[in-house]
Amino acid sequence: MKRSKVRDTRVCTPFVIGMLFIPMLYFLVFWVFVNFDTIILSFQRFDLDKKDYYFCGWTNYRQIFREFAASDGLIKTAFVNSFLIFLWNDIVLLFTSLFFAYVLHRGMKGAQVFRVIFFIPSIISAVVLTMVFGFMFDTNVGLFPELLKALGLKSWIPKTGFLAGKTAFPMLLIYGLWSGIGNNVVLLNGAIKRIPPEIFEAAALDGIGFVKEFTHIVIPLIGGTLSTLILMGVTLITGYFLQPMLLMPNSTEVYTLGLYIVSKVNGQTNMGIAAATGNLCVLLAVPIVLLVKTVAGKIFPVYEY
Amino acid sequence: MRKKLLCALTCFVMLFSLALSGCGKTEVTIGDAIYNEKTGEMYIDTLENKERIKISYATGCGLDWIKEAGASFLKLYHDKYYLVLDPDPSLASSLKTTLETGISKTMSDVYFTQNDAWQTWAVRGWMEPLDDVYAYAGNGDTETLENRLRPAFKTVGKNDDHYYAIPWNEIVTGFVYNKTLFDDYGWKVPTTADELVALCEQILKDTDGDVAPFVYPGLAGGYFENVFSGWWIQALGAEAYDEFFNLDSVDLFDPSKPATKGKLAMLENFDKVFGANVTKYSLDGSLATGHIAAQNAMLQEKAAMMPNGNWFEAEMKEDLKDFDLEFRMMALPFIKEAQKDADGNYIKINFGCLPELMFVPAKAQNKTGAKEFLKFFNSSEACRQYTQTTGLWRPIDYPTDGVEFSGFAQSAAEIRAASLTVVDNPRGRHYIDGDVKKFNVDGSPFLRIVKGEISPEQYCKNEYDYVKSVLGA
Repeated sequence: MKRSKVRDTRVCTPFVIGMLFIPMLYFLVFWVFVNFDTIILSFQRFDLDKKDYYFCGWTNYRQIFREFAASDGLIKTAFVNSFLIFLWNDIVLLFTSLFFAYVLHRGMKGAQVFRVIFFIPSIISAVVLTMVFGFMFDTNVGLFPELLKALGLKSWIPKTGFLAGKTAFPMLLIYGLWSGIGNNVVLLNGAIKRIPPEIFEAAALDGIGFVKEFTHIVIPLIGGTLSTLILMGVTLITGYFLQPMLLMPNSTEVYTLGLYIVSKVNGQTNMGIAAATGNLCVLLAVPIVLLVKTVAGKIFPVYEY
Repeated sequence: MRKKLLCALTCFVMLFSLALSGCGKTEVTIGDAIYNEKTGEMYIDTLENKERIKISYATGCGLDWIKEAGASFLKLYHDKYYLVLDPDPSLASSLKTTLETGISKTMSDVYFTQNDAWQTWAVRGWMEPLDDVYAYAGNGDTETLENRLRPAFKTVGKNDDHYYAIPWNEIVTGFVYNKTLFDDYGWKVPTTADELVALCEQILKDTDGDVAPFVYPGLAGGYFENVFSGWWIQALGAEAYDEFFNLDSVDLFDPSKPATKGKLAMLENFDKVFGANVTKYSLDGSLATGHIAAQNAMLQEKAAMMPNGNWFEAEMKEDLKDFDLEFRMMALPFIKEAQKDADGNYIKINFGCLPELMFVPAKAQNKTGAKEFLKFFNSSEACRQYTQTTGLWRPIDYPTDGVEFSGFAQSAAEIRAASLTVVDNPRGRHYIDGDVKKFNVDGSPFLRIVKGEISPEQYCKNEYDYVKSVLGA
C-alpha cells in the first residue's frame, strides 16, 4: 500500500508540473510580462536623437489629462456611453434574456427553434453581423427604411441616417440587444434547467403562479449565473469597442472608453500614451469591478442545491 | 441508427467538399510567369535553385498591379529569383509588431504600406537604408530615382540624411462627378467655391431634389480630410503647408497667424457646403454611409458628386460595368482665400494625402533581391506599366506614351499635370511624441462640423489652447 503511494507521487509530480507549466508560462508571458511592460512603457517616450526609449516621468499621463481638459465633449461622451452600455447590458439585456430563457424553459411551442434563432447572432462573426445590421438600416438600400417608406412613414427616417447623429447610440444599444441576447439566453436557460424539478413541482402544489415562480424560485436559484453575467458586463466599460468601431466607424456619438484606447493605440506615434491610457482605464475599472462584485454577491447569493 | 446515419452523411459531405475545394485551378500564367494563387508564388520555369523575394502589400489598389510588375521583373531576373506575393489588408496595423519581433523567417523582403510613424522604425534600425536604390539609374533610365521623383515626394522617405522608404502612389483628389448627368442637364464644372454652391442649388432645382448634389461616406471620415486639405493648401501656400508639418511652434496654431488662418478658411468653406445648416446639398443618410455604399449611390444617380480620389475607378471596376454612365474627376474649386501667382491666376493645387510607402526591413532574408525589385519597380517602364494597369500614378516623372487611359483616368491625369501636388509629411519630436498632430482635440473637425457639434472658429480656438498647453509646457 505504502509502495503504491510512493509510485503514485513519482508519476504524479512530473505530470502535475507538466500540466501546470503551460498555463504558468502563459500567465507569466501574457499577463505578468505584458502588464508590467505596459506600466513601464507608460513612463517612457521615444527619443529620436538617442534612438531609444527614455524615462519621462509623468509626462504621458500629463499629456492625457491635457487632452481631457481640451476635449470639447468627446471624452465625456466616451465616459457616458461606456457607463450606459454597462447599465444597458446589466439591466435591459440581462433581464430581457432572463425573461426569454424562462419563457423557453416553460416549454412554449417551438422552444427549440426559438433557442436556435436567439443563438444564431452569437455564432456569426461580429464583422458580418455589423454589416448585416448596417445594411438593414441603410437609408438608401436598407430593409427597415424601405419598410417605413412603404408605410408612408418616410419622415421617420432621420436625415443623418439611422446609424449617425442622434439615433446612432440608441441603434448601437439595439444592436447590442439583438446580438447579445443569444449567449445570455443559452447560459441562463442552462442555469434554470439545473434547478431540481421537484422544487417546481412543490411550488406548483403550493399553487404559486408564473410570476412568483420566476421571482421567488428561478431568480434566487440562478443567482450565481446572474452575478457572473453582471460582473462580465462591467468589463464592457473599458472593453466595448469592436461593435461601434465596425458599425459606425468615425462616429463620435458612439465613442466609448474602449474605442478611445484603440484609437490611441492605432493612431499613436507614441505608444507610451497608449499604455498610460490603458493604465488609467484599469485604475477606473478596478474599483467598479470590486463594487459590482460585492453588490451582486449580496443581491444574488449563491445557493447550493 | 438514424443519428449515426446522419453523422456519416455529414462527414461524407464535409470530406467531399474538402476534396472538391482542392480541385480548382491554382496556377495561372501572367506573361511568361506562372503564378500560384494559393501559395502566392510566382516564377518562370521552376522554383529550384532560386532565391525568394517575398512582397507584402496593402490591398487598396487591387491585386493586378503586383502580378503584372512581378511578371515583368521575373522576365529580367528569372534565373536568380522567384517571388512570393502576399496581399495583406491588415498590414498597416500588424507591421510594427512584425518588425519589432525581428524574426527574419516570418518577415517579408519588401513592404508596401501606409504608416505615419515610420521614422521611429528607421532610427531603431528596423528599416534598411535605400540610398543605393535612390542613387540607381538603370533598367532603361539615365537619371537616378532621386532625380526622377516629383518635387513633393523628394524627402518623404528621408530621415537623418538617409533614404529608408520610397513613396508609392501620387494620389489625385477632388470631386468625382457623374459626367452623363452633367451633360444631360448642361451643368458646368465649377472652378470656384461660390460656383460650387450655385451648382448645388442648380442641381436641386433641375432635378426637383431627386438628385442630391453630393454624397459622402460619413463612416469613412478620412475622405473629407483627404480632399478638403486642398483648400488649406490653396490658402496657405505649398511651402508654408510643408513647414507646418514641423509641428514645432505654438504660432502654427494661432488663429491670427497664416497657418491657422488657412485652416480656418478651409473649415469655413467646408461648412458652407457640408455644414449642419446646409444638409440639403448632401444625400440623406450620407453620414451613416460607408465609402462603397456612397460610391454605389453615385452609380444609382442618387447624387451627382462625391469628394473622392482617383482610386474610385479601380475600386468600382466591377460595379461600373453594370452602368452605362461616365464618371470624371474635377479639381477642388478655388476658395476666395486661395493664393494667386504673379499673373493673378489661382495656383492649382492637388492634395496627394499622406503618401503610402515601400521599404525593405533591416532583417529581411533577401535584402539584395528586395533592392533589385525596388530598383526595377521604380524604373520608368515599370511605372508606366503600373499606370496602365491601375490608372493610378507613381510620384515619379515618366513618359506615358501609348498608355490607354479611360475617360476618368484621363481627367485625373489632367488635374495632376496642371497642378502642384502637395502631401502631408509629418515629422519632428512633437509629432513622434504624440503631442501635436495635423488636427488636435477630439480628432478631425470635418464630421463634427457636419453634425453641427462645433464651429470652425471654435475648433481653431480649442486647438490653439490645447497646443499652447502642450508646447508651452
